[in-house]
Amino acid sequence: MRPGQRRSAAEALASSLRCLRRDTAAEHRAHNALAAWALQFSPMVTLDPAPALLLEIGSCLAYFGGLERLRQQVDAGLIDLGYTVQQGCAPTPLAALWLAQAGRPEAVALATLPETLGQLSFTGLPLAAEQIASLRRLGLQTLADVQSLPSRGLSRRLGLQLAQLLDRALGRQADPRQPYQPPDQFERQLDLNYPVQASEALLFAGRRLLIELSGFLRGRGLGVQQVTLRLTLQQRPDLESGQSQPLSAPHHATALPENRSHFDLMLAFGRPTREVAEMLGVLKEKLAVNPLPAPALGLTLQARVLHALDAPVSDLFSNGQSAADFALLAARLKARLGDQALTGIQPHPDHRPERAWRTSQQPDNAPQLPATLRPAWLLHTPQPLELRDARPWLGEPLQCQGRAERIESGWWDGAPIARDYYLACGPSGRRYWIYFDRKEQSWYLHGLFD
Amino acid sequence: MLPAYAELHCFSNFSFLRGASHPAELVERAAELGYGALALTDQGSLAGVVRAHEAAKAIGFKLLIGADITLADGPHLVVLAPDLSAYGDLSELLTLGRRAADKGQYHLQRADLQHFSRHLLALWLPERGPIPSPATWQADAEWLAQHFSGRLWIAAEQHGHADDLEWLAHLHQLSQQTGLAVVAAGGVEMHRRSRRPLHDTLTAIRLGQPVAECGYALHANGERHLRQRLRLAQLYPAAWLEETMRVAERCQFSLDSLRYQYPQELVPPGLTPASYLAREVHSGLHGRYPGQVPLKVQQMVARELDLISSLAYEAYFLTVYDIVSWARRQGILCQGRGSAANSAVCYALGITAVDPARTEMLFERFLSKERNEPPDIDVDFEHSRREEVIQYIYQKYGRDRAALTATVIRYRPRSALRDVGRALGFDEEQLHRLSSILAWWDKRDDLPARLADAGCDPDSRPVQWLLQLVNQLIGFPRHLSQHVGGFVISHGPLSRQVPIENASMTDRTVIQWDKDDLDIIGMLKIDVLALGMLTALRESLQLVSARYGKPFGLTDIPAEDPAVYDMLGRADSIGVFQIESRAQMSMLPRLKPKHFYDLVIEVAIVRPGPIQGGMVHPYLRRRQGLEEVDYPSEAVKNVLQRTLGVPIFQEQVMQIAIVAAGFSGGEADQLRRSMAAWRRTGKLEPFRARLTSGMLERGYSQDFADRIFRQIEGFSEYGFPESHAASFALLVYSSAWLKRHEPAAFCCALLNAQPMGFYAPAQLVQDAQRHGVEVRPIDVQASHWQCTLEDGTNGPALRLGLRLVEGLGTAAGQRIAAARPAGGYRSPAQLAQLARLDASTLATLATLATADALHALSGNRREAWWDVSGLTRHNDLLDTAPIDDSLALPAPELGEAITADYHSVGLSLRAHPISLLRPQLSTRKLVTATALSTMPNGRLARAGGLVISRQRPGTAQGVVFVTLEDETGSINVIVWSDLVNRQRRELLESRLMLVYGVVQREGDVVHLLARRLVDATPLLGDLSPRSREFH
Repeated sequence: MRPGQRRSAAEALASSLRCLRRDTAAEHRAHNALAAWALQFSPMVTLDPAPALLLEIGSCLAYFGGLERLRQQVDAGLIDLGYTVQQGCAPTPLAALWLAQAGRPEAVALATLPETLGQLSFTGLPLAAEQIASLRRLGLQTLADVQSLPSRGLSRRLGLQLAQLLDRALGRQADPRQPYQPPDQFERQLDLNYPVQASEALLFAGRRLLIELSGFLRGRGLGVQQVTLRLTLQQRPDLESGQSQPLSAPHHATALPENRSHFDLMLAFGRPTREVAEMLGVLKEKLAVNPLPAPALGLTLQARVLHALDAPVSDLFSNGQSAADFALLAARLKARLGDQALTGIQPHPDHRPERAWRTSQQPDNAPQLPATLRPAWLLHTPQPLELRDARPWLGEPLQCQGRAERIESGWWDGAPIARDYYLACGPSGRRYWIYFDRKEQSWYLHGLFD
Repeated sequence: MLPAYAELHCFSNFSFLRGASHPAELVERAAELGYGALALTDQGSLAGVVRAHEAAKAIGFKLLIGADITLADGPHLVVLAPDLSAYGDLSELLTLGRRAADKGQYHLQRADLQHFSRHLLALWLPERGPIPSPATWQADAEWLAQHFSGRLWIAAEQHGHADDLEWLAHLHQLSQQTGLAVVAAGGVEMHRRSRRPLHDTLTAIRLGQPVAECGYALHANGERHLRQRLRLAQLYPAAWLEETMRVAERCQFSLDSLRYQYPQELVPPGLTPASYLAREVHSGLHGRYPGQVPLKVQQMVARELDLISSLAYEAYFLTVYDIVSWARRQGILCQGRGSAANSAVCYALGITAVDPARTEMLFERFLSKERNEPPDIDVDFEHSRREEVIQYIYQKYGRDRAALTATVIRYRPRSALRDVGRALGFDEEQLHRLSSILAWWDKRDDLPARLADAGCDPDSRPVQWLLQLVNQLIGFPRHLSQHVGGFVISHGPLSRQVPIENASMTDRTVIQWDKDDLDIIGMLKIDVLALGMLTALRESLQLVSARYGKPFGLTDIPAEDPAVYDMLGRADSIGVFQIESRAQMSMLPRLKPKHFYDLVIEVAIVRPGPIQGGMVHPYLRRRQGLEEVDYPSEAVKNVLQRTLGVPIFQEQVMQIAIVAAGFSGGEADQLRRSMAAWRRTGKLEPFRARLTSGMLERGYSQDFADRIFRQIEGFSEYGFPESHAASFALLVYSSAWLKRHEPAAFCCALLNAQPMGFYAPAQLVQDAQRHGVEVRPIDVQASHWQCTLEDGTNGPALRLGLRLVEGLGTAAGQRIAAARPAGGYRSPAQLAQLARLDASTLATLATLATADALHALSGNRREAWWDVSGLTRHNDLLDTAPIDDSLALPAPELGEAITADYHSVGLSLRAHPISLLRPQLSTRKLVTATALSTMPNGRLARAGGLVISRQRPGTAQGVVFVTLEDETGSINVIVWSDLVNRQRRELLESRLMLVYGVVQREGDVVHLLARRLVDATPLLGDLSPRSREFH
C-alpha cells in the first residue's frame, strides 16, 4: 500500500484489506493527553503540530539525574503507553523538532548546530508545499544547499519565512512558545481528622467541598452536570469501585498506603448546575443507597467536565413546576432507583402500532402520529380472539365498526405485519381495537379504548 | 357480478423512484384483471407511454395517455388526452413545464394549464389534509370548472386508511356542492401488492435514508396496486366505478394516430420531395462517376428511390443531405457509418463514402418494407467541430422542432446494489465488498459462496432482501439522459409529438423518448456523432496542402498504394484508424492486407463476434492456402466467396438465411436484430427451427445448419455490418497513407486531436521519430499552442506545441504564441508582459519553466525556475522591472530531466528512460524489444519496459495482455490467468515491468509468454509515465 493509492487498487492487491476512517478528533485527544502526561517531566511543554511534543528540559536535568536518564524515562514512559518515539535533543525547539523528525536522536550542542542542521533535508520544515516544491525545483536537497544560495534572492522568491525559521532553529532569533495549559478542572481534597462512616457527618464534609466547587464555578460562569466524590477508606474494601481509568488519561491518584483504598461516588445532576442544594440532594440520595464498606479518612471532589451556564440559575421561582425542577426530580429518581429504572416515552414514526412509540432517555421532537383513532393503551402482546358464530369474541360478541384500516409494513426488520384493524364494540359498550391478521387469517385484540 | 372499471391514475417506474412497476407490467396486469382500460399518468412525463402502448397493442388492450400534474399554485390533477389535439396540448404543456425547470423537474402554474386546457380531460384530486378546507376547494372547483367545463371530475382514492369513510363523505358533499361527478381512481404505483418492498425501497432511495428510518414517508400498506375488481366494489360506490368507464369511453386517442413528418422546407419551390431527391441523387452520381454511372449502381439507385418513395422517406434523406452539405461547406469532414453505407442513394448524396460499384450491398440491412421501421443514418463529424453541426441544426429548425433523443439510464447491477444496499442500511464497507462480487450476480449457484467470501451470510434476512430487491430493481429507469447524438427533427412543432426537456448540458434539449420508442412510433432520427480521426485527417490534409502549396483532399490520396499495404503488413500501424490496437497489430502480419477489401475484413474480423463465433482461424487458414475453400451450394458461394466461405459480416448471415433457408429480406433483418439482443432476451430459438428446417428443405446438411447457427450466436451484439466496416476501412486506408507518406504531418495532426486513439503522445512521438521525423521540443520562442511543422533538414520537422504542457490553459498558451515578437522574447519578464500573464498566471510561467519551455530564455529548468520565481507580484501585475539576479545552477542529471519531462509534458525527447537503465538490465540478461523480435519460437527470454497498457478482453478467459515499451520498441506480453492470480501485485502495480518468459512466434508476430513478472518500478526513481489502461 502507499499513500494516495485508490482504494480499489489497494483491494485488488489485498482482498482482505480492511479500511478504517482516520479519527482526527481521537488523535487530538491523545495528543493533549500526552502533553498533560509530559508535564511530570517539565513544567514547559509545548504542543507542536501533531504528533510532536516539545519539552523544555534544561531547567529540570538535575532533578531527573541528568540528560540521559531523563530521556530514558520519557522514552520508557511513552513506550509503556503504547507509542513509538522519535527523540531529538537540541538547544532550540525547532532544531530539536527537526532532528526528531529526521530520526537523529543524538543531542546537539549549539556550536555544532549549523553543521548538523545543514545535513538535514528541508522537506520536513513547516513550509507550504509549494515552497518545498520550489526548493526542489532549484535542485536543492539539504538545508546547507539552501544556505548556499544568495539569501536576499531566496527571500524574495520564497518570502522571509524560511530565513526566519533557520534563524530560530539556530538560536539567532528568539522562539517563544505558548506552553500547554491543562484544561480547567476542579479538584479539592479534604482530610478528616478521624474515620467517619455516618452519612450525616459525610454530608457535612461533602457540603463544604460542594460549597467550594460552587464558588469556583460561579467565578468562571460555569456549571457541572456530573462530579465524582472520592472517599479514601481506612481499609481495602471487598467491593471494587467499578471505576476504571483510561490508559491515556493522566493519573492523579497517588499510591495509597497498604491499608487504604478508595470508594467513588458519581453524582449526576440531570443538567448543568452550581447550586449547592441541588448537588447536596443528589449526594444524599447516593449515600442512602450506597453504604460505605469502611470508614472514610478523607474526601476528594473532582469535576472534570465543566459546562457553561447560559443564565444564572434563579432562585426566585424555585417553588414553581419548572422544567429544571422536572429534570432535577428525574435526576433524583435515577439516583435512587438506578439509571435504567426511569425512561421517557415518545412517538416513533413507524406504521406498525406496536412500534409507533418507544422509550427514550432524552425526549426529542419525533414526527407526530398520523391522524388516526388509536387507543392510548396497547397490549404488550396482541391477544388471540376466539370466534363464535364467525365473529370475534372477548367475553362478549364483538361488532366491527366502519371500515378496516389496513396496515402492511415492516418487511425489512423481521417483524412484518399485514393486518386489517377495526374499532369494535361489545354489548357492554366497551370499545376495543382489534385486528384481523391477513397472513394467519385470525383475529387479535391489540388495545382498549378509555 | 364484478363491476367494470378503468384505472385512470397510474404511475409507472418512469415516475422515477416512485412507480415500482414497468409500464408493460401494469398494462398486462390490468388486462389480466379485466379492467376496461388503463391510463398511464406519470408525474409530468410521457416517457413511459410508448412502452405501455406497445404492450397494450400486443394484447389488444385499451391504453389512455395522460399525466399527473401538481401545479405550483395548486391544485393537483390528472389530465387525460381524449384526442390528438388534446395529446398535442398535453405534450406542449409538459414541454413548457419541463423547460421552465431544472433537469428532471417540472414547474407549471395555473396560467400555463389554462392555455392548454381546451381539449384535455381533468380529474381533480382535492388535497387530503387533516382538515378539509371548503373555501380552498370551492375556489379550486370554480377555477377548474371554468377551464374544463364538461371535462372535469373529482377523483376519489381509497387506500384502506382509517378515515376512508369520512373522506368518502367529504367527496360526496363536494360533489353535491359543485355538481361535479366523482370518479373512482387507484393512485396506482405498482402492478401487484408484492412490489410493496420494492416500493418502500424506492422511497428510501428517493429520500436518501434507510427504509427503517423512513417512517411515515412509506405507504401504510400496499393498496396502491392494481386491485381486484371485487375489492374495488367493496371500497367505492358503484356509480363512481361506472364513471371510470365513461371517462375511458371519451378517450379515443392512440399513439398510432401520431402523424410524424420530416421537415418539408428543404424542397425548392416547384419540386416535390421525390423529384428533388431524385434530381440531387442523379447530380450526385455524376459527380461520383465522372464518366459513365455503372449500370449496377443505376439499378440500385432506381430500386432504392422507389422504396424511399413508397415509404415517404424523401424528406428524411433530404434533411441528412442538408446537414452533411452544410458541414462540407464549412470544411468540416464527415462520413456516414453503419447501415446507411448499404445505400447507393446515401453514396450519391455524399452522406456515405463506400462506392456501391466496388462492394456488395444489402439494402435491406438499411431499409426494408416489411420491417416498417425507419432507417437510421449515422454520420461521423470531426469531434472538435461537431458542436457547430449541432448548433446549426438547432438554429435552422428551432428548439421546438429539433431535439436530441433521450437515453434512458437504467439501474445496472452495480448501481442497484449500491442504492438498495444503502436503503437496507448496509454500510459502505459492506457494499464495497459486495460490489466486488457483481461479476457472479447472474450465476445463482455460485452466488452464496461469493457472498460468504465477501463477509456476508447468504441466508441472513438483509442479504436475502438485498438479492431479491436488487434483481427487481435492475432494469428500472433511473433518469433520462441525452443520446450521444441522435437528433429528431420534425416539420411541425416537435413538442406536440413528445415533451421536450432540458438536458444537463446547457444549450441542449432532449425529448422524453429514446431510440426504441422512436422506432415504435416511426419517428426518424439522425445520429450526429463525433470522431477524432476525422479531425486528425482534416488537419493532416491541411498541413500537406500547405506544404505542397495546393489543396490536397481525401480524394487526392492515391488508391491501392502497395507501400501502404507493406507498412500495414509489418504491423506498423501506430496512429492508424481502428487497426492500431494490439489485437489488430497481431492480426495484420497474419492477414497481410494487399487490397482495400482486406482492410474491410481486417476491421471486422478483430471483433468479439467473429472471435467468439470461431471465424478467425478458418479464415486465416484459408487465406494462407492451408485449408480448402468449399461451398455447399452455388447460392451460398455467391454470398461467402469474398470472405473465403467464412461468414464475417452481419449481412452475410442475413443473406445465407435468405438464400439457404428461404427467409425474406425483412425476416432476415429480424434475425439480425434478435442476434443483437439474444443474450438479453434469449429469443433466438424460434429462428433456429426455421433456419434449420429451411436449410434442410433446400438440401443443406444438418451440420452446415448447426455451424451457421453457432456462428450467428457468436455474433451476438458484436458483429460488424460489412457496410460499416467498409466505411471505416476508407478511413483506415487514408490514415495509413498519411502515416506512410506524410509521417510528420500525420503525427502532428494526431497530437493536436488528442485525446483520441489508443496511444499517448509519448508513443506517437517515438513512433514518428522511428520513422525519421525530426521532433523539436516545446519552446516559448518557437512553439504555437498546437503542434506545428517547421522546415527541417530532411523534410518537415515536428515542433511540439504548448498544448502538451500539463496545466497550461488554452487562452494563455495561445497568447504566448500570438504575442511573440519577431525576434522572440528577451526574458521571462517580457514574456509575462507581452502575453498579458497577470499575477494569477505567475503559475503559468511556473508551468512553462517546469515544462522546460523557457530553456531558450533562462537555461536549464532550475535556472528557469529561479528566474520565474524571482518575478514579484506588484499591484496585481507582475513587476517586470528587471532585477537581474540570474544565477548559474548545475543542470539536472539526464535521468532527473527525463523524469521532469514525463511529469510535465508526458514525453521526453532526450532519451528513452529505459536506455538509461539498459546497463543494469543487461546485467540481468534482459534483451531489447528489437532483439526479442528476432528470436525463434520457444526460446527462453527476458525483457522489460515501461507498462504502456494492460488489457483483459472479455473473450480471453482471464488472460491479460500487457504492452511494454523500451528504447527500441514495444514488447507484447501474454500473462495467463494462473499467473495473473499469482502475481496480481506485480501485474497491476508495476510501472517498469520485467518479464521472464518464453518467446512465442507465429510468422512475424512475436509475443513473450510470461512465466514470472518482476516489478522493477523502484529503478525508475519517481519517473511515472502514465499508463493507459483499457478494461
